[in-house]
Amino acid sequence: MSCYIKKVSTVSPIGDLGENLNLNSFAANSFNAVEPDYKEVIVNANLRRRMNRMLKMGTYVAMKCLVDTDVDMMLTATSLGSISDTEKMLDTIYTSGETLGNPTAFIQSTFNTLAGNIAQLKSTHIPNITFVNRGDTVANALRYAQVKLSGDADNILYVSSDEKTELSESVLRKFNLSASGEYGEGSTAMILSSEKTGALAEIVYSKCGVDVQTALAELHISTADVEILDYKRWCGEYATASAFGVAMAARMLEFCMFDGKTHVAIEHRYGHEISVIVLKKC
Amino acid sequence: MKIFCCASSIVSVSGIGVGKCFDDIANADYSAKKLQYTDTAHEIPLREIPFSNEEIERMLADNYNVVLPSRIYTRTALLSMLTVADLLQSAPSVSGKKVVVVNATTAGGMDKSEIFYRDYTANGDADIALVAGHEPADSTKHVCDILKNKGADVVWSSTISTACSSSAVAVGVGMDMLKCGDVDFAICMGVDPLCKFTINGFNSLGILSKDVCRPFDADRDGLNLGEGAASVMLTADGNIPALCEMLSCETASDAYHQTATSPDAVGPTLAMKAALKKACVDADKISYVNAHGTATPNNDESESIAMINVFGENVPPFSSTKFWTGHTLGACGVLELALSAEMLKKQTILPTRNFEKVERLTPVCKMEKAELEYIMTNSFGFGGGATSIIIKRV
Repeated sequence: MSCYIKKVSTVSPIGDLGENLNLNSFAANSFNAVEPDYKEVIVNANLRRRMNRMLKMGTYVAMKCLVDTDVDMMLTATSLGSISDTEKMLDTIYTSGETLGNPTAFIQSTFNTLAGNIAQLKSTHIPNITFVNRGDTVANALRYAQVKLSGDADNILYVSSDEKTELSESVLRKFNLSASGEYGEGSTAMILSSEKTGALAEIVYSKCGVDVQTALAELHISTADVEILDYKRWCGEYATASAFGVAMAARMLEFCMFDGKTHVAIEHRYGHEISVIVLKKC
Repeated sequence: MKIFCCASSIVSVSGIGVGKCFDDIANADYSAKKLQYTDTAHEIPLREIPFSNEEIERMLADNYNVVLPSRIYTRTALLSMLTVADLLQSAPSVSGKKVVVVNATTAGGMDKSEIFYRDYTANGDADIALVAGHEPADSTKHVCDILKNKGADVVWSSTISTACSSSAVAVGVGMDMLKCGDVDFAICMGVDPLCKFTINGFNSLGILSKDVCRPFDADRDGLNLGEGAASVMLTADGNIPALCEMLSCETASDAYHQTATSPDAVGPTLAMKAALKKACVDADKISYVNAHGTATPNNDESESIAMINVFGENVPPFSSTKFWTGHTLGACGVLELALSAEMLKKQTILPTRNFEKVERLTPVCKMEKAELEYIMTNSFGFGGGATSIIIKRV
């Protein structure tokens, strides 16, 4: 079951890892995503204005990955979807006593709007599926990508995106979902392929409900050969943060930054949920 | 590898059971009922599931031996648990079996989240327990808990949200997981409750009818929303008595508009053609199409064009069962798959009602006995997703 990472792009507190991996330059005082100039990839000004941050970030990373690359399937993943538009829609309902509508907020609050946007911008009719599994979303979608790449798909675009709002962050805090107390946000896109040529790394394992020790035991890999990446100090805590971890690990493996270690494990604990993704050097 | 559907369940305006829903569609015209459980200012026909949340909790405990710890449950979670508890009554035992669960919903736990939002904005604070089930994955977790209690080994579970095609897509994902091996059963399901968010959202798009909807009628003026939860159990084990064989489930993107289908119906046409190709079935072998047929001017027009694109002059008998169930959004794909499997079993086509004036194509308007071998069932959604499933008589 081969699943190779060919390309990555992120919108994150440390920018686009696909372009720049200068980890030393980061001085975190918040885990807000550093947003790029979207004009470059989302040319239509009206569309840009309408889109919320979850959509803009997700569309940006997807379009970056799709430059000169064709895929035969798109998998998107999110925990809260366009939560800012969900809040706007609810606000309209209650402030107007159900007399006014907010069609843009309603449409954009639909979880698969990101996939629909990307399909429209690229004029592509390939199938797309949106995974919505809270903290398990990324590992869940990547496991499905492994299954499809061993079946009828050769190249898949994976995109995850989550934005934070004042209200969503305060609610997540009440549920105490972050071990560090730092809540982040961002988007990650990757081109996944069944073909190894030019790959940054291989995804060899993606499973929910296990911790890193269990994962390594299942893979029969010695802990000495594995880097357990502390990626959340760069991106903060959010449900789809592990995708950022995977992108970061892939780029670091590309540049041999792990002192001869062959594998990198991305463990994601989010409230009661736990999942592990393991990457192997190519 | 052959895949079969070996059990199904529908929870709908007809209550619990595929047979009940089937019989109501076969025998009755829908007349609007007063809402009992849905809190909305809009006076429009909606298809409510005829149980309160408290009644569902009681039924789960009394009829299905599913006793829930005391906490706030979203209607989405309760309906999910109800359809799966009902499914397990007619399904082979899951004890000791490797099971995959693929759930689907568009609204998630919005029925409780909107109360949280109302209280929070009015008082600056609200009961946090109201949003504990906000995310779509919440109902999936509760379903997995029921299965684990029955001794199942839930090896993978997932939640899909691709708007109105959600649960049809979930069927495709379940089939893929069965094909990759080492799985005994895939439970594919969909659920959506009625809530202010959905009702006002669709209302703001101007696509809700004030009357009972009229799929494919030239004067149709919009859809009726409905509550629904439905589930099917799929297996590759040919020794288990099956309702139908699952031949294909294919998706394409229309890539045209977030809420409207393209005038030439590119996405729906591609999905239907891809499903035929994957199933290795010629178009003229399809005995019946269960249409998405929402009764919006746009959907039924483009779906008719798609059927003409695929079938030419020989469009098979088709109908939309949404005149009775309403548009159950994330549930409709599996709900209509369950109805289609029942039609194969009973060799009977369920009708569309309230159809008077022909626009492009005429649906089946009266229950008909027919030789049914292959059925196609369609689901199209916001974001341009179009999914087509083909099943075969066993």
